[in-house]
Amino acid sequence: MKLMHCPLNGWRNFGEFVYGGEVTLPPAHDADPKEWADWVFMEDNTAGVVREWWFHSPSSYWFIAERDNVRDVVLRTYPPEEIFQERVDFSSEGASQ
Amino acid sequence: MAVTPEHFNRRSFIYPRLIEAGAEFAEVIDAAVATRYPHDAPALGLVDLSPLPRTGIKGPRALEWLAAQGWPVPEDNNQAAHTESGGMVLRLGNREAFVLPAPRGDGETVHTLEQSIPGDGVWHMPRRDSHAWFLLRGEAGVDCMAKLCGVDLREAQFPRGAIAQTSVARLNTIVCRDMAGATPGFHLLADSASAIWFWDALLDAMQEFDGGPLGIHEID
Repeated sequence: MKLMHCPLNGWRNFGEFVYGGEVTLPPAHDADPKEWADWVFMEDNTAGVVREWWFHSPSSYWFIAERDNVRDVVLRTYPPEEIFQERVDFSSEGASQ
Repeated sequence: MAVTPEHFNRRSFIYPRLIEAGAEFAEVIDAAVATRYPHDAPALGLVDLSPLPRTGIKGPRALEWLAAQGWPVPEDNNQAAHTESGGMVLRLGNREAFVLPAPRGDGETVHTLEQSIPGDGVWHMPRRDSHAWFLLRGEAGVDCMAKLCGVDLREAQFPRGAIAQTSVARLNTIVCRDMAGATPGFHLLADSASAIWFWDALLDAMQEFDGGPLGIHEID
């Protein structure tokens, strides 16, 4: 059985997890729409060690995994707070529209 | 006149199954709960606690607020703490808790808690309609669960008060080990829309241990 370590729940069968895409930092809220479209729709599709969002479905918990996608080995998993420590404030964007 | 689930607007998600099994019911707060069945209580029993109140809170200040209201909040995630009346607070994460009353009462306490949730950084997560609540009670419960769940639930690894948010019979479930009277048990909280299927799957798995449904008055 293939297992992954969830930072909240510990080791669990892979079937309890859902892939959530690459972890990339969003552009500034007033960046060019092309830059936003690239961030939303395009994948880097790197071969090697990548940083990915994963979701533990029974606990509705999102976390980050570093995975070597060539060897398909999960190297490390950790809570998103390690990278995302501040709430993104979009209020100024609403005011400019 | 005998109490039946149809007397109430609020009913267990599996009440047709309980009627089929010949359950006797009693009124608890605003619903009918199965109290006993027309057979001797099995050593491994499945109790339907779904009609009872329960609630949840979520938010950055949720646990801090709950503790300030006098509720016991466990120090670690995936741990449960008992209230004086026999209810439980299940800490599911740094920002989320699930509150269960004692199987035989104090639903009013849960109701009072729900009414006082402030909303600012502490949000109400209604759980009475979202989750079915079953109690698997009996010494053989751990062997039965081993058929349905990949997590090691033996007592040495999973003592009283431990919580696993995992898959049971391929259904996302919160499992919490507790004592039902003098007998070990597992509280099982899972998607209410799949409750009948879950009830049937559990009873099917319990067959080899001579298990069957159990009423709340048959819990020691």
